[in-house]
Amino acid sequence: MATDDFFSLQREYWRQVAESDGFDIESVQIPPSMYGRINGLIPHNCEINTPLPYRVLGKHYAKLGLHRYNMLKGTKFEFGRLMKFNMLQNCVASFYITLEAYDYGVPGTSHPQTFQVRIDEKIFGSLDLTVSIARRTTDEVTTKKPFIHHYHGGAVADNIIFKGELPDWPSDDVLKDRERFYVIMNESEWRATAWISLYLELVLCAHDKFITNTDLSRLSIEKVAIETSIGDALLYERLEAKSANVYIWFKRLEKPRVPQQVFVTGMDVERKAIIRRVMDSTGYLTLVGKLCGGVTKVRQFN
Amino acid sequence: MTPETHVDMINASEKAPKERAYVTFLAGNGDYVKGVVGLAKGLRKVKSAYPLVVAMLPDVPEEHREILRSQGCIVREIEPVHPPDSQDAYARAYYIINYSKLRIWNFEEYNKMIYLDADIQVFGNIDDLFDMQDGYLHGVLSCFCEKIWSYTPLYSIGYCQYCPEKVVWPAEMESAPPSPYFNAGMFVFEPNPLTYESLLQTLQVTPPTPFAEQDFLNMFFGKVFKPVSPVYNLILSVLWRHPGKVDLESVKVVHYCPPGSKPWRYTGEEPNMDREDVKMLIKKWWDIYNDESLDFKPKSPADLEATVLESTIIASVTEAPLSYSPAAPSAA
Repeated sequence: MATDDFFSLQREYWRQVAESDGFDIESVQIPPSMYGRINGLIPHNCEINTPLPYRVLGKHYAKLGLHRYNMLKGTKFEFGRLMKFNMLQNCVASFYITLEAYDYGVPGTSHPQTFQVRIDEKIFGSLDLTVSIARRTTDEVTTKKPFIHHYHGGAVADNIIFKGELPDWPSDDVLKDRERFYVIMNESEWRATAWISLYLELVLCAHDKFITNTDLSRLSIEKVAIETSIGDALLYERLEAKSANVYIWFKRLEKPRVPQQVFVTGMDVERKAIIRRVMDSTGYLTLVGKLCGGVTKVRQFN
Repeated sequence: MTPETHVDMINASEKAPKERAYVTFLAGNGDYVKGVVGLAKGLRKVKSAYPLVVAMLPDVPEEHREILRSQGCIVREIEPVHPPDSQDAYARAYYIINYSKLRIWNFEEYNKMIYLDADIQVFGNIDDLFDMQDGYLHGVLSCFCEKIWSYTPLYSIGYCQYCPEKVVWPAEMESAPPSPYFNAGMFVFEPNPLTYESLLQTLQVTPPTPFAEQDFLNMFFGKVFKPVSPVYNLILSVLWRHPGKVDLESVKVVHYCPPGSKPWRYTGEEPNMDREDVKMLIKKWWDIYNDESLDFKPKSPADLEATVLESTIIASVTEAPLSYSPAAPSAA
């Protein structure tokens, strides 16, 4: 095939992908002779029973997109089902997810609405991602941007506390600083906030993309603390803060699997996770998280 | 607080971490076993501190396994990896076998490995590669000039990673030059069952492409790839495609991948195989292969007895005296 033809086809491929921002590519045509040569998005129709990589992760990414939408719009949409799941083949991937969700914040509405969510991962084996698109298909897109199939940026915090590396786990004394931390002791308070368990599960899914729903369903959150920079604020203000570090104590994760780290095993072992949320004026939501307490695999010598 | 523990770096020449090793891949009952023997002896010649693991498919005969054990190799049997079905997807039909290399990511007793193809020889110590930054896959950029790359438009416009300035990237392409592409004959990686599972899962939903596992690894690790100097994987064709680009005196790793360049099959009759520098590199390979002082030395009498017995197996397999002669047929 002539060079010009090849690149013309490649440009045409990405032009068609860009028309829907990567979400509706099932009709994008690739000539049989070029099959496999154009490194593009892998489409998945979740309504057909085909193998879906990272099924658990896919649903969590969809829920995270809804979480962003709800935070920005003040709505209460909840995940219904996956419809489409397009992804890059890279170990650090981008996902273009189409899903249905139900708005439980508006009485009397029972029909699902269709959402599109884009997730761009930044690191393999650890939670570091950006939700760059989270919208209803009926929403008007007012700021059309050039399509880039893998976005490398993220939300930028306006406070130094939420920049750079994740903090070390705070001591009990530090946690007493009410200006910085709100420790949620009442179980009903953190249970009422669904995104807290979502954040924890995302940390675990990022470390181990093949973790099962059974593993996640066993988790028992014991305590939650939220660190913000807005001073002595009420709980709901902390929960809605654009930037926050969330510290979670939990149990019933028997064998954590984290690349190049080892952990004490046992269902009753208390474990800790830190998750940082940053949202900025772009509307992007960036999550960075880690499971604490692991030991880097120690090298043994002859 | 439970701090995460970090291990201080220790000079690899002082103590060899048990969790590091070289690894190569072997399939079938053919003559590539000679390549592995040559590689094992080459690593000993340069006084590498690390062992060589041979990941082999079940079809490798026991005689060949014994040969490799007698040379101090760690033999690990692996199951084949089957990519999605495809007709005529590969530049060479046998490339499909190489997907089985992905199994090496499951060697989780090692935290860092250097993969070397069996048609590679090491002429300088490369243990320093183990100290490359964690979290990345390190390899050498491919040369796109050989005819086998004619499948791609890069070949027809003359673009090559070794001299990207030579060809002005056509403006009408309306795209940036392609991402870095490494040769999968040598790379530094971190085995991990989580990466391994992702590799296999992603493979099942990725269409096959002409260079099989090399294309796939480039796609999968594209965003965590870091190139290293070509002296760590001199693809032989670079000698005539890009003369002067690599100082042969400084080259540590030579990859005998062009047609006719496998030392154990060398006849000198294929294109470019009569070059003096090629002949010299072929001779160097044979010098190592035939050097009995580089054979594995067992540390105990029991090992010695086993080695003597296995030497008989070696002799029966080779079937003829090993010698280098560019004008003579291959010893295989």
